[in-house]
Amino acid sequence: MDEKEIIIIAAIAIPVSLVIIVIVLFSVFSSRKNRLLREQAEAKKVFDRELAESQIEIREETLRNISWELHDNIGQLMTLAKIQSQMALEKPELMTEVSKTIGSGIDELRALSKLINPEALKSLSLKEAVSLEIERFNRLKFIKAELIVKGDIIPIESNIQVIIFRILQEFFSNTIKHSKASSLKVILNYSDEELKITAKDDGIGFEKNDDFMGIGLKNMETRAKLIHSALKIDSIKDKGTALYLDYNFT
Amino acid sequence: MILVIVISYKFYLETVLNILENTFMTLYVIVFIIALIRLPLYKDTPLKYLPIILFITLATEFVGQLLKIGHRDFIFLIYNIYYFLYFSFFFYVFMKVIDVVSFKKCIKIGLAIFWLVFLGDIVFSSILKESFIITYIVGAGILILCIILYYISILQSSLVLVVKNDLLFWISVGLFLFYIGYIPIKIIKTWFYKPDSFFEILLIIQFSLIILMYLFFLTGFLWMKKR
Repeated sequence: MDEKEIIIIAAIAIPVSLVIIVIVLFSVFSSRKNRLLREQAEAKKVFDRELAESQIEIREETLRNISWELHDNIGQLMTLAKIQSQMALEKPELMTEVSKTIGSGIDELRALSKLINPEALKSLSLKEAVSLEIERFNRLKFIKAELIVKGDIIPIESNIQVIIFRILQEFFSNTIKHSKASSLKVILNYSDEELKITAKDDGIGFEKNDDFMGIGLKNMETRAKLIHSALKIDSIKDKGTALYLDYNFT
Repeated sequence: MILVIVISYKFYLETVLNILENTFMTLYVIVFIIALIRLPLYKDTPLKYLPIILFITLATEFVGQLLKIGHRDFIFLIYNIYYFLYFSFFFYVFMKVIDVVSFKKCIKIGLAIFWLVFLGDIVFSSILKESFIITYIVGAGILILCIILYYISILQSSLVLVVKNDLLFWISVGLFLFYIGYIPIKIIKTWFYKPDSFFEILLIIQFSLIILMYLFFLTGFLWMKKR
């Protein structure tokens, strides 16, 4: 092959191969981009679905709590007021006691109506929402609960907050229903980069293969993944259970 | 009659070459000026030294054109140093930009090979009297490899969604197409050269490739957005 043939071949091959490279580059990049966009849309759909489910579950939990409060707390106060008023027919000096009991009932009703109001719930910060739960546990004497907040509170986007709150609510619900714990401690530790949440009870703990915990854990893990958080649940039989959730702000 | 055709063909080729040469020299200047104007948008990235490399390219080409007429000795010296700076700069950029550890390691090895080959050329050939062809071809080959690794890393990340507004992407497309096309030309020019107008066809392709590369650079500077 002489140099003229080589030049002719090169003169044809170079532009042709460049055109092929451009076409291949364009199609590879655009197909990858489209796939990524589809994956993102799918991830958003999953996130929205989980968010909606979390919101429904929070509402259901709230209704259940209201039902308990009405029955165990306000109901008891009203029953007491009724008995006191019947006794007051014979001893009128007992009327002040009746008035006090009804007053307590009204206070409890006010607190409850605040909780039911969806607007109030939406405007709550994570610390306030957790604090309300802790107060309720103490008021109804379900468990001796404590909330500790460290660092400067950094507001979290409401959708993310709903998911975090639902994860905690699930943990609290398991603690109260199954753990037989006497105390619950929640720590919200804020730093510039992340929020570290720790929730610990001193209950009977559980085995990882317990069915009720299995499903609950899976739910919590799925939701933690959706908000790109690391969730860890440690349980020691007869010692207690601890939840660790790290949410990164960036 | 044949003589007239041959003369007019040669004249036509020379005119085309002149036009292309003027075009890419003008593009060198335009791209350098736009690179300076857009510098605030990429001053925090490894590409911040790009205007210096563009200026060195412009100056090298300009001095090269001037020295073509007289002192040819300095042309080799200038171009050999230029190749070293130019390729080392782009290896540094890709090494900084790519996050994948194994890819970074590959580029480091490539950089070491390139420097060794350059050192070998200094030892075994004359930096003043010969063009460092092996250094150039090895540098261009490693640069193509760096660009392929860069594309793979983009495709593996979500960067692919914003690649249209990424300066380095357009720079790399320009470099990739240029070197894929130019390496064979360089080889043919070095080992098969005979004084013949046929070789001017390759010069036309070479100049077109430079224009194409600089048009991609220009697109990158104009479309880029600060991340």
